[in-house]
Amino acid sequence: MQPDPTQRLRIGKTVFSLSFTATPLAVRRGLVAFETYLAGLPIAAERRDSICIVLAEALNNITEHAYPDACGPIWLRAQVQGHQFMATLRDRGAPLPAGLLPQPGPTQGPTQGQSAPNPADLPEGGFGWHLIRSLADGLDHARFAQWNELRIIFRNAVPAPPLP
Amino acid sequence: MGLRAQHSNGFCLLQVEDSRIDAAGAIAFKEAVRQASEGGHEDVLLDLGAVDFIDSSGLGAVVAVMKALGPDRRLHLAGLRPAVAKVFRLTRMDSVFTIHATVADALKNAA
Repeated sequence: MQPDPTQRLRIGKTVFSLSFTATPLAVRRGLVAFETYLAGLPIAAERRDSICIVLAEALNNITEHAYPDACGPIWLRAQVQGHQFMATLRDRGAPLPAGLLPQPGPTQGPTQGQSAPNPADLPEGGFGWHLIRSLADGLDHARFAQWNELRIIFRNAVPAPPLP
Repeated sequence: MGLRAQHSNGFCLLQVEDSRIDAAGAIAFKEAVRQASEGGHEDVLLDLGAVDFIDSSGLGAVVAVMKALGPDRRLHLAGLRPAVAKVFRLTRMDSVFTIHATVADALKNAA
């Protein structure tokens, strides 16, 4: 199917690309810029929140775990593809450990099954991957040369354009 | 981390003035809450009405704050905006904290 020219123009406006150094403050700045970009897309506010939560956790993971001792580059690209929204993150840090990337979908929360957990037993971490898996519709990791590449898919994020 | 503290209706009411509690600010947040609440005996009511966004580090900091208050002081949360409420809900932390829709609700319920 041929894309119509107006659609292509709109898609041209829907790409976000940013490179920065992996520090918590740079991640915050990058996310603020990303939120501004996202707010200009026809994506429901509730879904935008989910996308921002997932990206924040994925970027924090890179800062904390891919570059545990030093900081290195992060490359973030995001775009609308038809009805889906896709973000790609690249870093040159430690490889993502196998098994950290289960299939998205309903997963056990950190405290599931405990109706009244003892506060002293509550975890102060480990929420990040749970949030990513809960909110993303697709996750795909690859290692190319010395780079990690994580692709995150949000299905049906963009509504159908109105009929002409 | 901006934090405005006052005492109201038996609460130590702490109003977070920053729009994000994230990895870049989690340690400062914990420290600011500790300083503002230490020495008291009242429950702590954290007003998150100005907070647009919290990440897992920020959530961990809120859990740490609750633990630091010890067994005799409860941590209440109020004014959760949608993205913040979502993080609490998905991690089931909404069942751990006492969450009020607004600060006014929390103060009214305590009266």
